[in-house]
Amino acid sequence: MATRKKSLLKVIILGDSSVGKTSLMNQYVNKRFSNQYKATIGADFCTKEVVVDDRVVTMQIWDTAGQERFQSLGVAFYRGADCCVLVYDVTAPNSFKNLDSWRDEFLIQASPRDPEHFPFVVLGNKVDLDNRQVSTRRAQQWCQSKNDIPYYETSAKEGINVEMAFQTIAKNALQQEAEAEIYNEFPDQIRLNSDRNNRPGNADNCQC
Amino acid sequence: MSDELPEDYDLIVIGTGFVESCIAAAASRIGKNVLHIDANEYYGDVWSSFNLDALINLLEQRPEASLRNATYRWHDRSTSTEPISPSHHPWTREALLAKSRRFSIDLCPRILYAAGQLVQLLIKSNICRYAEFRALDHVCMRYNEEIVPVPCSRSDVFNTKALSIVEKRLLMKFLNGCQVYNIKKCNDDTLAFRGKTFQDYLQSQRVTEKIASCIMQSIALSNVNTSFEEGMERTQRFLRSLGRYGNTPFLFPMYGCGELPQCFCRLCAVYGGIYCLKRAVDNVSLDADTNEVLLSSAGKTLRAKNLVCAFGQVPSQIASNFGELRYNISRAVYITAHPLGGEELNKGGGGVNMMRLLTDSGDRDAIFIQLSHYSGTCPEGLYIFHLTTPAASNDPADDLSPFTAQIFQNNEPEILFSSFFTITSSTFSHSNTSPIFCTDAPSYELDYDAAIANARDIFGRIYAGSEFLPRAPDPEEIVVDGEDPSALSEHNLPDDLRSQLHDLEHSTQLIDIGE
Repeated sequence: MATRKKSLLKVIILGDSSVGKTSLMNQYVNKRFSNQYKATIGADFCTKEVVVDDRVVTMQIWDTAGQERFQSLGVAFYRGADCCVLVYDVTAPNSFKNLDSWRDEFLIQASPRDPEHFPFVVLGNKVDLDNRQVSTRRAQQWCQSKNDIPYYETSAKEGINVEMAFQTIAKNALQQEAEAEIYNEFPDQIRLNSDRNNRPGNADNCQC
Repeated sequence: MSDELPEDYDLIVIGTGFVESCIAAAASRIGKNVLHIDANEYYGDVWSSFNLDALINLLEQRPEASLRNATYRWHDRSTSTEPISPSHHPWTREALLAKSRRFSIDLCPRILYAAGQLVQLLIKSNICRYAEFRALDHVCMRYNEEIVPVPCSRSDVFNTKALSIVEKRLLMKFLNGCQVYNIKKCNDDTLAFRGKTFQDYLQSQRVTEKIASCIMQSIALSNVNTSFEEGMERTQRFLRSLGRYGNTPFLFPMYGCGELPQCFCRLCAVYGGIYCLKRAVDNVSLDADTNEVLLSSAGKTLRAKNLVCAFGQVPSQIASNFGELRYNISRAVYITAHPLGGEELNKGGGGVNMMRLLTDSGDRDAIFIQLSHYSGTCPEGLYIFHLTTPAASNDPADDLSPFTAQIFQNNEPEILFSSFFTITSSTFSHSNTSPIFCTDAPSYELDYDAAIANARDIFGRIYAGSEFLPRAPDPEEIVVDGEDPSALSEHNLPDDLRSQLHDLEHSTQLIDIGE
């Protein structure tokens, strides 16, 4: 039997305000959706255990906590990300156009070792709505032009494609993690109070 | 992204430095409506870390307020006619700037006691989940013009070659004595030293000169003027922090101290605080009727019950409340291609080392911090040296010269870049009725005790009786409003039941089509 090694993956979700970042996270981790929109309050990060290629990994999904609203995400948010999820709203063309700047911002702030091959995943959210403005083809073309970023069309509300998208996110993050382990860039990092934060027993939960 | 900034707040905080961020987080945590702005495009103000390009930009701007007397210099090898030996790294100015983003250079670097105030606050408030740390690899001291490790743990004391067996016994005996010392208990041995200096006490303990300097310099972090009580208290703080993480009693935040204000800001944001960088304030006034603060910024008038402002970002309208400008800290930053001290201190390319320096007369001191790439603050193969001393003049290089002479005397690390600057401050006179508060600029201290005390004080004056940063709950403790945890929805069903439900729906659809 394959050895099951545990590891922690940090995934960050970027995109304009109100494209559904928190809802996607909530849908994936807690299987729930709230129609009441509030600019992200109380959304912090979620953790969920996933199995990828026979390996149990803990995925830690970080929300922007609303700091993207006035373009004020600090560099600390980007540190050590294993995968970056770019979200836009298929009914809001501007949120699609801004994917470029979100991707650039990530590459500048996180400055990953190998920016060419850093795993991104793009999600076109709110496909349950009628007034779609960005075509699948247009989104796919953009993703192809950026080194073939995997693309999913999701609905956080209906739970469409959310599970599958996050499975890909976990898989790609894990590949990144495997490479990072070879570099072993920062060994011996300390988390304070680590017994509480890294306790494996309560893996499927969310602070939002 | 055209989002409208709300106009009414309980608290507006200007500046995202450490103290302001603590206050913003604490206010937001108890349900206050907080707007946190900063004129800069980065977090941290004078408590921030910078990449190399950004640091040079900052030093060239020579801002008026909290950072002054700034200079920098490239110690260029590229222009030298000497042939570069093969062992030398070709670290030219261009090579350094090409790696600019790998640097994270602190204006005010600090070292955390593993059981100190900040670590306790981070754990208590649960803000620790936003940060990672590295245990300091070595505490060093300068003895007989050489840089040697200070034994920190019991096993260190036994293993070190730097001390003789007799010295080891003396050191252990002394430290055990400090551990049982109790300031409240009258003890005949120690009573005699009340009101005297720590050095007096040390000398009475018949320790060797080496042990004495080891304790003075690195364990009690004292100088000749430190009182007995203060020295004992510091020694105890050192001992309390031992054995918690790593081999020394100290921690350093990964990627530099500039991460810490951002951790507090994130908590503030998680509890609903609004963040707006690159937002300058044009005018501040008071509403005579309500005693509320009116702030005009980018053509908007914002209103808040209270205003907290960083010294360096005070709008000119309230700047008249300040006393004379003071020079707080004199700083030096070096980038080198070689670590300080021998192989024993820099195994595997070096980690984070700390050394306290005293002048020959013993009345002035400085903190030296050496960072390698393992701290996430510089590229592999390079080292950052931070030197900090209380400012004595407006010439930071001159203030630091006795210490630079000490560290570079017998060691000539290849210095590639050097920079000097002063962190300034001023006293803000606060009237009892004013809703406007001003935070202190960074002062000379190893850890964040004074900064936290400042944040607590201002928070306490605005929100008397409220708890300062109570623990943010863990996920399983959060109950979402309006959700009945016992209600069953489709998505709450176990996977196998859900798939059965889907199959059922699917087959009904097929039947529909069939009809």
